[in-house]
Amino acid sequence: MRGVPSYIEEVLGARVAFGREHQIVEVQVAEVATINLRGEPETFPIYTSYDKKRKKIIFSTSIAFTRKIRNIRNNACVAVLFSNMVVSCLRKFPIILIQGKAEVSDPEPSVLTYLRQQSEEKRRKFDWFMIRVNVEVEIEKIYVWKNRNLDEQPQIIEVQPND
Amino acid sequence: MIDEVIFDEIREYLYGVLSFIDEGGYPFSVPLTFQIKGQNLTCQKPQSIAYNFVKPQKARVIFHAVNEDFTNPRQILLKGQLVEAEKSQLIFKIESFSRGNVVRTRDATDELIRKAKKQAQKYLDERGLTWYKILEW
Repeated sequence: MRGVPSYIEEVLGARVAFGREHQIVEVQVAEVATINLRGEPETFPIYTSYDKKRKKIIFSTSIAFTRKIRNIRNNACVAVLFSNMVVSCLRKFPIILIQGKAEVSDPEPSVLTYLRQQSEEKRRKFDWFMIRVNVEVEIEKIYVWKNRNLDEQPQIIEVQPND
Repeated sequence: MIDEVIFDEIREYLYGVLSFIDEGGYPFSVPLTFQIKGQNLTCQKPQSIAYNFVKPQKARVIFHAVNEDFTNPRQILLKGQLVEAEKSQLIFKIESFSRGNVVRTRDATDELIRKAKKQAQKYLDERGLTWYKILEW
């Protein structure tokens, strides 16, 4: 049992930058697999981030699209795959699969402050998008294919749960 | 039957992500390069996942991409049955698919927003989150 190695944290915390006219959107797209009510996997591409201090993978989803949330509430086991970091700044990007338990937090009234900062037009059109459910994944097991070769045995790291 | 148009779209992707449930009861996902054979996808079974006992089961394969200016996220999600034809090969029998592309037309965007608002209010109601009511639009 051990913690999350720093080279793994580098990948989890990396950002992929996309230029769009005058703005840069920074995202990390991972494939998050949940288990649905029938016990089958359901996979979603999701923008994730990494909380280095708490050693958790974080993502959120609009309250309009909560299928994955329903799945997690029914079965907390998830897998988060980082399959492709081609356009990131990392020179070498392994394939990393994280397994762990996810915890869901409903949006809180504090989001109203954020909503009030937006124009009325934006609020009226996109309030459903700006109110979000947060998900935190406690990392339990990490599979690493350092050379991106799935025929090689992965390094398997069992992670000690946070206190 | 999966339309040939869908298979043509699948061929545009470098790889798909196969997800199944492993012996520990967790989802397990790997990126794989598939070939299309009839109505099935096939691929070489990676040696490193053999020990995870990929049993015949319901599984998913997702193909997704976003272009460099972030304007066109798209995906094809296949539902199906994972079967092991022989030790070295996996066969994924496609049962159904769904496709998600960014809506570009004004009408389609409006329809998406109307639907999303309805679903968002339903979520707030179900969770008893009475501190907000989704705005009329």
